Amino acid sequence: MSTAVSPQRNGGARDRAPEGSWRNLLRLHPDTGVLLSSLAILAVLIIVFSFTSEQFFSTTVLVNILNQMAIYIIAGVGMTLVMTSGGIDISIGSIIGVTATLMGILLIDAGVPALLAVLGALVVGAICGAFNGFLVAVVRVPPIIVTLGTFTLFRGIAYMLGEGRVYMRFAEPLPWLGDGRILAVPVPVYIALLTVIGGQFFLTSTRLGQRITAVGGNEEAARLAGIDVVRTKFLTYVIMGSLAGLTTVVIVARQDAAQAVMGTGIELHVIAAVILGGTSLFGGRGLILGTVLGALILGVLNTGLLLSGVVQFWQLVAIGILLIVVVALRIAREGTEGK
Amino acid sequence: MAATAIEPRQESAAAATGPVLEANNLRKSFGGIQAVDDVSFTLGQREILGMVGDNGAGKSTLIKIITGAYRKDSGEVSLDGEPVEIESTAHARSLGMETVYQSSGLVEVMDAPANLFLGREKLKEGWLGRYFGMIDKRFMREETSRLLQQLNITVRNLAAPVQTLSGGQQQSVAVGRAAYWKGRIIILDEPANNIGVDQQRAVLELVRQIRDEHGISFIMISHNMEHIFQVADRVIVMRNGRKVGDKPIGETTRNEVVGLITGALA
Repeated sequence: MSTAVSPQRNGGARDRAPEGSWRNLLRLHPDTGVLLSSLAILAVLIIVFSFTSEQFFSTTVLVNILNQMAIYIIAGVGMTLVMTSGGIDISIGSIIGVTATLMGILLIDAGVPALLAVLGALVVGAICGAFNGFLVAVVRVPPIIVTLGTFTLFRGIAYMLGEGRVYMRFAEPLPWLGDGRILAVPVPVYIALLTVIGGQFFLTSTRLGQRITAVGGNEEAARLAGIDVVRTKFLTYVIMGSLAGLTTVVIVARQDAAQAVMGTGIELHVIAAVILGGTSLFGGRGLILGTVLGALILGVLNTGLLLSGVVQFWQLVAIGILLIVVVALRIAREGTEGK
Repeated sequence: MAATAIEPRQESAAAATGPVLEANNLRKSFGGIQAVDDVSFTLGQREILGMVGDNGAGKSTLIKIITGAYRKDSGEVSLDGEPVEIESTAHARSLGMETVYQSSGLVEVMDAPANLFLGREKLKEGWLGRYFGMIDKRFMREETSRLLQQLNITVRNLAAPVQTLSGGQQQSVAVGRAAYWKGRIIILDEPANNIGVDQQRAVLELVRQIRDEHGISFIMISHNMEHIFQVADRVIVMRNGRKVGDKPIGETTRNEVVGLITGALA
């Protein structure tokens, strides 16, 4: 019997969406709702702070927020991938400590060119990530345990390497990466933008990106479909590590200094941004653009409260409440929509 | 790839008559327990073979030997008359054996195209695919749309996660996936479990349709006697690791099969 498909598509309810139309994109894509809700929160915050503070709504302040958030966005792209795979990495701050110290040693003690130091940070970051990835994927220790261990371990290594020194005043062009501007926009913003574009493309349009989503969504089904789960998870942590290295480059360049304590506490902000952005805590759904919005929400909230004269303690309280409320609302909504 | 989602099988004249799959004297034991004890059976071209038996009767072990998940202790498996040594599930798949699992084996949070091509993503032609591993989403979506249409599965929104589909539709997508990937033998492990009655019928109908139109053979494990008698051509009964019955469906009754399962008729 012939199986050629007869072109009887007229009038059918299915498959009516013409390619790329805006309305359909909005209606059809399951992530759109989450992204819009994050965007709405961001818009509301910006409007509110424009009233509560006279200085807030200005190009300078908004560009500043973008600039400040660049490091959270860069690391956040990596964290989005890790959480999409069903894992988590709380060791990124310590990876930043190791790679920052390494950059200081390379630039000041060894006097290598900036480009080589940058490459060194990316490679050593990737090696730290590979260590995490090996323990998670091959030895099968839960990610939270592995990275809690390496959280301490990497920081210890950073202190040993740095011996308490602070490396300062690097030769150009490194500082330019931190405070240079192209068309009035700070260089770190461009670095973050490129990372986001690359991350978005990687996660949604490449084979490995799809497999990361599959492994996080249903590991058993992914394995049965012939996906190499071990390799997929391993590579996710390697990518996270190298993006932590890239984050280091921006931090070191911006401060024009490098020391072992750098990156302390960054993981909490990064994870908060990823979660605010709508990436699932349980894996299988990652929204790179959501992470960008999540980071911007945190930045706007911080700066807005500061400029509105709110005491810093209240800023912390506000961020905590926002995080819990947003996640609670999303879980409630997903619950009513049915599994 | 060609324009049709599932292509009709090209049968060579020689292979058209003999069994697709032949298993002889299979044995497998786990620590002294004979899970599969000297079992032989055949699966014909275009045949839907039901496999029934109590829990622990050896159905799953038998299937896992056939699909490469377990290595057999002794015995022989032939495909189209050629003896084969099946080394892994991937190997079984490359030989044209696809398995549809009870829990459907889909990633529920991903959409239908991603699931159809799970682990076998189609890369874009040219450098974007070769160097960046970019996948051809349009191709995957079009193929999925075509396949679903062919199988009369209505999915309103191809970009929606498959968890928004009904259980029956999910199972149909899983069966369709096995057919799409040129499975010559599709093994269904409780294909209509955990789904509504209407949907059970739809899944069984789909199995029959794929068999009729594409000449694919099925082995269907089921606890449900109704399902077996609805679609199977023949039924084999397992009990305590042995095959205790092997009957064309027209020459047996539900009572007889149940008797064989429980040992009342042994």
